[in-house]
This record gives sequence, structure tokens and C-alpha cells, in this order.
Amino acid sequence: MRAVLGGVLALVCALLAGAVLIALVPTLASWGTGEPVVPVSPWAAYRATFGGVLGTREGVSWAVYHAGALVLTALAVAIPLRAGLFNIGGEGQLLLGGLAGTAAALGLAGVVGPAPAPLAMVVLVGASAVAAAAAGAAWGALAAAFTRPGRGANEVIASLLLNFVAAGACQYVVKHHLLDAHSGVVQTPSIPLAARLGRLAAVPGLERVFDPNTPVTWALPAALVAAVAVAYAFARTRWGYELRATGANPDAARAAGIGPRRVAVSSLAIGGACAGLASLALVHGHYGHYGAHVFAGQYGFLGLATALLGRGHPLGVVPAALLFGVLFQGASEITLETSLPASIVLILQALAITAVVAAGALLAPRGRG
Amino acid sequence: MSSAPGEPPTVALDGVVVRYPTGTIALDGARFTLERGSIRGLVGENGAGKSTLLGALCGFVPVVAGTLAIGGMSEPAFATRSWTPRRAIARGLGMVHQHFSLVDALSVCDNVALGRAPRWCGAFYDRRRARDEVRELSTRYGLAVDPDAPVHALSLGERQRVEILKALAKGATALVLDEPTAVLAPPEVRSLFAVLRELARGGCAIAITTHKLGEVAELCDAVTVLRAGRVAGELPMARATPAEIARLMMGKDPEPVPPRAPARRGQRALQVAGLAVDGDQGEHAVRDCSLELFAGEILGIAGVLGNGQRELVEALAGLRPTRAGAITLPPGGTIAFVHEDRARHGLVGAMSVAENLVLGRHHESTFSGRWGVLRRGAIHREAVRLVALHDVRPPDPEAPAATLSGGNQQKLVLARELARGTSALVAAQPTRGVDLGATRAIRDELVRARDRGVAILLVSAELDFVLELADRVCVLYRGRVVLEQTADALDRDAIGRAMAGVA
Amino acid sequence: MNDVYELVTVIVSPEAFAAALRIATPLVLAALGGLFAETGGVPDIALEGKLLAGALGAVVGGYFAERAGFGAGAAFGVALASAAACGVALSMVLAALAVGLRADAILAGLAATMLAQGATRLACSCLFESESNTPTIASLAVSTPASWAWVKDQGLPRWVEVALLSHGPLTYLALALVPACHVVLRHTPFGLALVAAGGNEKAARAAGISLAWTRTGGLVFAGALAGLGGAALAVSVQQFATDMSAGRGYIALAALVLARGRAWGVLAATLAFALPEALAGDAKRIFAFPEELALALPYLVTLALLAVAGARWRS
Repeated sequence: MRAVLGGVLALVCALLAGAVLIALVPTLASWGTGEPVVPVSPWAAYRATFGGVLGTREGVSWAVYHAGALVLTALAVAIPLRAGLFNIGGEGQLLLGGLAGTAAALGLAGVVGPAPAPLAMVVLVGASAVAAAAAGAAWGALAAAFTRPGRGANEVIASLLLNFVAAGACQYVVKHHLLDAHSGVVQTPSIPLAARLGRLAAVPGLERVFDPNTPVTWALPAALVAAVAVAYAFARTRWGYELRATGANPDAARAAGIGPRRVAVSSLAIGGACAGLASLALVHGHYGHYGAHVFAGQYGFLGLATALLGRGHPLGVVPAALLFGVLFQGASEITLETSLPASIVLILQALAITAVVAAGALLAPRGRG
Repeated sequence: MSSAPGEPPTVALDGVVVRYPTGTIALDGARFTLERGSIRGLVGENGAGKSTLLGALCGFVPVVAGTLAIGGMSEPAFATRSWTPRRAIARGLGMVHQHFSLVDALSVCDNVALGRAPRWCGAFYDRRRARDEVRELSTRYGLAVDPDAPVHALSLGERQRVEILKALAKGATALVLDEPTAVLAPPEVRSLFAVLRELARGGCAIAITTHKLGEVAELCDAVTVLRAGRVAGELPMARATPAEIARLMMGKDPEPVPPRAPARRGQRALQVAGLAVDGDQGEHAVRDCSLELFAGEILGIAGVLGNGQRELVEALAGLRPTRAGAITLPPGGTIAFVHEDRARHGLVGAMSVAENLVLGRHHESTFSGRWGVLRRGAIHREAVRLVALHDVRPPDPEAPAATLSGGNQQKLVLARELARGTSALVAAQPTRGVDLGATRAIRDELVRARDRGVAILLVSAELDFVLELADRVCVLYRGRVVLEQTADALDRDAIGRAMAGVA
Repeated sequence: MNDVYELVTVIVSPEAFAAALRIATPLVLAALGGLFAETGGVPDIALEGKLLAGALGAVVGGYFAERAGFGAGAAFGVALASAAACGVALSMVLAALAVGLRADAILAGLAATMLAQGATRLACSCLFESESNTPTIASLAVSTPASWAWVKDQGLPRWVEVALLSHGPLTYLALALVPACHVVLRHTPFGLALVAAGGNEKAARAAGISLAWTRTGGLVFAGALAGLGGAALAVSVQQFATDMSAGRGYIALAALVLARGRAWGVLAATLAFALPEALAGDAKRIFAFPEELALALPYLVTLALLAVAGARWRS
């Protein structure tokens, strides 16, 4: 309970800090341009954006959409974290997963063309999911190859570098092999309609809950199922037990015959698979193609913050993801409602992450006296 | 020689109360006095609070209440947050820790100079002067050590000398040593005692903790006995017989050790031939080690810590690669291990007692079903059974293992390893940090296992424990087995000499 | 075979060495900074952010100094000072989190880096009206010794001129700092305290060393050095562009792993990492790589070396 309150308090502090920044930005701008200050009221900005996100069905739906993806990227962090490893490579795993999923959907489009719609959907979405998960898992397992026993941030450094490599590789593949020549930008053609995930608002009974114009799709319940499955696996399976033992005391686990390499690879691979699957919510659920938007999302790092806020617990990441979803959507809207530059979104996200890290440190049990 | 009668003691602690973060009281109104020129022993069983008391005196442990007077003058900063090691050393109180607080990456003179480094041209560190200081102190007190040697290359005995030099260099007039003999072979203990006597003659006030009563008798002028955080008695050495001290330590007369049946030796359970294992720094920790272990007997390996025992056990367990030699088990033979560092290799503190009890057996079909799902009911039942059988307290299978006392944790590890039903068991330093009651229980368990036919390899630096239990005794010195004797022909002196490498 | 021969001649040319040294300069500075932080016990994952902060700081400092009428040399000095100051500021954030609040150093470093990424973009768009880059700052252009008249008059062999004398002041500063850092770490009381703080907390505290102040001091050095590294980045193109550090902070960290705590090791490792980037253009030409592969080459080489280093040595 303390942890939840602490987390919420942290985010509130982040928003306050953001407010101060917003108040200062116009002054800063005038230094540079020499023009007179055009003041922006943080409170008005917050009211317009976060008020809108929390107050309207549309706003809530968008926040829930982001939360769906964040649950999966948070699981990508939470699973290896339980084994004592940091998965900082979520961005790269998501990028590669998205590419693989899109390629699968595009590649099979011709094959399933004549088949009836429900079957086509199952095949396309299923194949995309498998491809995305496999790509993410492979990238995660690659990072596992760099883990070293004992102290040392080798897998962290490697994961961060792998993110850059993934970004470059995906850019290359899209530009040279999957490019949509008509669009004029670096992105793939649209995936077939049958591959798109159905919106939850279309389900009878749910049209009052979710705005039909927002991309809240079946990805959301899938993410929730994944969270529950991970929680069950941690508590009730042999794999989860070995993971927890390795995370709590790697030496004792090794002495008991639990191979650290096996645990590292399996946890990072499954985590990577989750991050890869998150791309489906974005590509198959919203954008319909793979391009700049997927690259720019920052869902990977926000997933890290979400996992921290949820104290690394697979069920805890769900409410944390909702909070961050609200933050994400509200911050994105600020650029629309005011004259502030787009980078304010990044700063607000960074402030939120900093606040969560600080809160986590303050709430951690104090070491031996 | 002690202070003149009527003179206030050099150091007088009283009413010290220390509480652990978990809430348990570590010290409950303890008192302790030191006199110039005399050596006081502080004894008590594991967990009585000896290290805590010394740590409180020297500023390493936060104190809730208590008074400290040095040379008759009360020390107001004591029992407040400003009583830091720096403050304590400024008042002349120097502590030599059981687990040395030395920086491995630095040299001896750097470690001694740390915090008060002599300067050259104001901004630079004058290593030459630091080196000279170490040499000077070294010769004055007979503590031979190379000032430029990097600490990570030193033996445990040498590191202890550096710790003492550190305290002396800072002008300690009262020197407090926590379990200094735990890492020394008998002859090294003699030379340490000679140094301490010399220091006392020079006017230092000295306190040492130990749980070897023989040492107390040999060295100390007076002894304070702690029991459960309180002082059970303070005696001058003249009136302190070992029996009296033991009675004060335990609160009752010690039970006599029950005799055990002679060993019924069976098949060979383990053979080690010409084993060579490297240590963490690449040094030859175990060289050309050979031994044989038979069912139904206890082979005791005596030796001061740091002579390759840890590396040998880790190699047997497959946790450390071997450089040469062979480890052979008969077909179907299995070994269970009680590692010397139970916090590191034995238990997962954050997990429950029940989860710890199936660690390493969790893949057995009793505990793990189809699709890898754990059988929680079976695990719980097994935990209840083992906890009752081995008297683990508190008998709560869901309690986190970290909340158990040292003795109960060790009983837990032993329970788990015995439950594996292996043909051999290796127990490394099983009584380290374990109170007397649990030590007795562990002793009995090992004898019972031996009588059931288990082959037991007992590795311990506690010579008394080894001699009490072993049917055969070996000594490990610098990675080699240098002596072997049977229980009915024990020559304690020879063993002591072998432990120190003296022919 | 011809290709390989051509590549070899390129590798051993003084131009390649000079390019490697130039590219290594920000890496060396960042890695030296990271060395101070890590020696004290706080692995500095925020080097990436400090490079960015320093780069922007240099540009902003130079810009305002020019506007205020400073001469070229003075403006350059202001730019450097401002770069170091920005790096130190970010270090203070990291110190507050990792030392003050005892947060995990890796998480704190990531948070600080993200703050730097956002803040530099924001400052850029506020002050220069473009989110992605700034105008070029003339005072950041550096003159190299090779361009001085009296050097040209000496008639030194070409390889000396190209390899050794055609670098800007920051490169020479970086090279001079390598032995300087070694001296500070091994031969000053502060360095000793830092090694102790990172080696054995208990020993340091027992010696009366304040862990908090010592580690913060290490982070100050880290921030100043990495900030200067960022200045080197800005100087190379005389402007700031968003995310121009492009992962160099992490490459510097990898160099630290290889260097195993030695200042000279840092120099060797960063040169090893800089060489592929220096050769990327030529390799692309000779072997006809695609553009993206050439760009990814530094990361791939770093990863390969990191894997080898981890396999052979303990961390």
C-alpha cells in the first residue's frame, strides 16, 4: 500500500516539476529569439490535457490503449528483474518484434487472401504474434549472452548498444526491402485489414466503456492475460521458483544446481518476447503499418518505469501501466493544446521516470543499521 | 599489571543497549571495563553479543542507551549519532575487526594511511612517508609485513597484522580485537599473544573476544562473560576456571558429551586423487590433495581458514573447476553439501523455510508435477516433517528463512541436505556463527547420520569440534593433506604443528 | 585480396590514426569521467546524457559569448566552461539519486540520461527555434597546430604533421588528462579515498572517509570530464544536433570494462573502439557495405569486444 501511494506521490511530484518547467519555457524561448514572452499557464495546460484524459471517455480510452502496450513492455522488464537482471533492451526488442510481425502479416497476406475473414484474422494475427515474440525473444537472449556472474553492468551496456543496432537494422530493412514507395517516408505498406486487431468498442456492451474512435483493441485483454500468466508462473511453477531463487541469491541457487545461464537466457528471452508482442498493440492495433511512429514511442523505457512503479510484480504493473498511460496521453496532448515544443513530452516522461526511481529508493527497506 | 587500585579504569562502558533494525535487543544493559596494561577477555557463545559490544564501544554499531567513561571522564558523544569510528579513534579506541576492513585494491601502507594520508606539496599523497611509518611501527611492535604488498595478496594472518598496525598508527591506547584467533594456526596464535602482551606492557589496554576458553586462560588477566546480551559475570583470571566460565556462559552446567559408538566402516564413498584447484586470484589453493572417504565414518579435515578448504569443497560440489586430479564416486554415489557460507551458498533468505527445504530437490517428481507446476501441498508437508524432525525453531514453514537465528538456519540447511538421502555428506564449517545448543544438535545429527551409514567429510577450523567427532583426522595445510591420524591415536600437538606448517 | 590489401594500407595510414584519435576524443574524456565515478563505487550509466548536456552547453556558451562580444579564443573558453558545468549539473542529479537517496546506480543513470535527452531538446527548441539542431558557432572552430605558420615552416615529415599535429585543443587535453587522471587516482589523498569508497565501504567509513562526499566528488569529476567530451562532439561539427551522442556514452562504458580500472587502459580501449568508425567510410567504399551497416559498425565492434572481454576476464 505504501508503495502505491509512494508511486502516485512520485508522479504528482514529477508533474509539479513539469509545471515549473512549463512556466519557465516561454521565458527561455524569449532569450533565444528575442521576442516578448508569451506566458503559458501550467495549470491551464494540465487542466486542459490531463483533465481531458481523465474526464472524457475518449481520453480514458487513449490512456488505456497506451497502458495495454505498457503492460507488455513492463513485463519485459519485470520477468528478468525477478531473476536479478535488468532488461534495458526493451526498445530494441519491441522494434524487431514489430518488424517481424509486420513482415509476417505482409508476407502471408497473399496466402490467406481468399480465406474467410475470421480464419484469415486468426492466421495473420497468430503468425504476426509468433514472429514478433520470436524476434523479441531472440534479441533478449542475445543480451543474455553478455551477462556476467557477480557485479558488472555488462548486460546493461550490451542491451543499450543492442538497442542502437536494432534501430539501425530495422531502418535498413524497411528502407531497402519493405518500403512503401508511395508514402514518401520510411515505413512499410499497410498490413491487410484482416490482420488488424478488432476494437473492444465493437463488442456489444463495451461501446459505452471505450470510445470507438480509439485503438483499444483485443491487445488489452491479451496483455492482462499475460500479466496473470506471469504472476502464476512466478508463484506456482518450477521455472518461476528457479527464477526467484536466482534473483534472491544467485550463489545459493547455483549451489543447488540451478544453472544461472539457463535462467538468464529464459528470463530475458521471455521478457523479450513480451516486448515484441507489445508491438502488435501498436502496429496491428493502431497504426496499421510499421514506421516512424513505432520508432519514436519510447514504450521500452516507459515500460521500465512502469515495472519499477509496479515494484516488479507482474500484477502490480497493471495499475502502474494505467497511471503511465494517463501520463503519456496527457503529455502528448500538451503540445496540441499549447504552444509548447514537442520535447516537453520527453521531459515530462523523464521527470516521471526520475520520480519513480527516487520513490523506489526512498521506499526500499533501509539496509542493516 | 593493571591500573593502581582506586584509579578509575581506562575505559568503562555501562548500561549499553543496542537494538537491531528488526527490533530484537542485541545488548541489554551490558557493561565492560578495560584497564591500562591489562588484557581482558570477552566470552560468550555465538549470538551473545560480543562483537556487538565491541562494535558499540568503537562507534561501528548504533547505540540506543549507555554511558562511556575514558580515564574517569564521561564521554558525552557516546550513545548519540555522533559516536563514529573517527570519534572513537580520536579518543584512542582502536578496533581490529573479525572480518577485516581493508581495501583489497590498495597496498598495506595505503590502507594504514587511509583517512590521514601524509601530504607532499599540499595536494599529493606522500607514499614514501606512509611507507616509513609502517616500517617503523612494524619493527617496534614485531608485526612483520611488507608495506608495498597489495592487500589482496596477503594471507589472513598478515591481514590481521595490517589491521593492528592501522589501529596503532592512529594512536590507539585501547586495542579491541574481535575473534582474532579464528583465522590463526596455534603457533601464529602464540606470536599474536606475544605481541599483545608487549603492547600491554607498554601501557595499552587490550580486550579480545574468543570462544576458545583455553586461550582466555592463557592470555587474559580478567574475563567478562556475556549471555543473551547481558553480563553474566566478571572475574579476574585467578578465580575463573573453565568450568565456571562455561557455566556463566550457558547459565547452567554443560551437559556431558554422550559417548558415541565406534565407527562401522563400509564401502568407499568418495575418492580424491592428486586434486589441484585454483583460487579466486589464480593462486594454487589446493595442490596435490588426496583423500578417501568411507561409508559410516566421519573424516575430519582440520585446518586454519584459508588453506584451501573452501576451494576444495567448492571443487567437490562442482562450483569450481579443477586444474588437475580426479574426484571419483562409486556408481550411484551422491554427495550433499553444507557449505561454509550458509548465507551465500546455503539459503535464500527472502524465501520461506519450506521453499528453502526443497531447494535442489524441487525438480523431483514429488515436488514438481506436469508442465512444471509445483506441488505446493507436498512441499508444505515435507517442510513440516523436516522442521519437526530437526527441531528448527520457530517451526513455521512459511516464515522467511532470513528471520531464523544462525543456529536454526544451519539446522535447516543440514535438514535439507540429510533429506536428500545421499551416500556422502560434506559439512564445511558447520558450527560457524552457531550457538552452543544448535552446535550440540548438529553434532548429534552428524553422529546419527554416520551411524546410518552416511560417509561424512567434516571440514572445520574448530579443532575441538573436529577432534570430538572425527573417526579419522587429516590436516589441510596450504592445499595439501599433511597429516592423518585415527581417533584412537590422536596427537594434538602434532596436529597443531601441522596446521601451522611446522614439521 | 586487392580489397584487403587496400584496407590494410588505409588502416596503417596516418590519416586513419588521426581520424581515430579525433573520434576517440569524446570517448576518452567520457570514459575518464566514468572511471572516476566507477572507482568510487557508482557506475556512471549517465555518460550518454552528460555528453549531450556538454555538447549543448558548449554551443550555448559559445553562442551567448559571441553575442556578448567576446573574442574567438575567449568564447571558446566560455564554451568549454559551460560544457563542463552542464556535465557537472547532470552529475549532481545522478549524485542526488544514487548517493543521496541510495537508488540503484543503473536506474538513476538511465533516468538522468533521459532527463538530459529531453532537456537538451527542449533548450534547443526554446533558444534556437529548431528542435533538431542549432546554428553553427564559429568560435567553436578550432585551429590545429598543423595550420600554424611556424609549424609549416619546420618541414616535418608528413606522418608527424597529419597523425600528431592536426588535432584540436580538446584532443591534446584528452591525451594530457590520461596521465593526469592516473596521478589523481593513485597519488592524491582524494584518489585514495575514492578507491577505498569503491573497494570496501566499511574500511572507508572506519577511516573516517565520508562515502557521500567522496562519491559525489568522483561524480563531479565525471560530469566535468564527460561534459568536455560533449564539447568535443560539438566542436567536431560546430553545432549541436539532437541525440548527437548516438550511444557514445555506452561505448565509453564498454571501454571502461575493457580498461579494468586503469587510466591507460581507457586510452587503449577507446582507440580500439574509435578505429572502426574512423575506417567505416573507407571500408564502405572498398567493400561496398550498405550505409546502415557502416553506421552500425562501431556498436557491433564494441559488442564483439565486450563479449570477448567478459569471457576472458572477470568483471
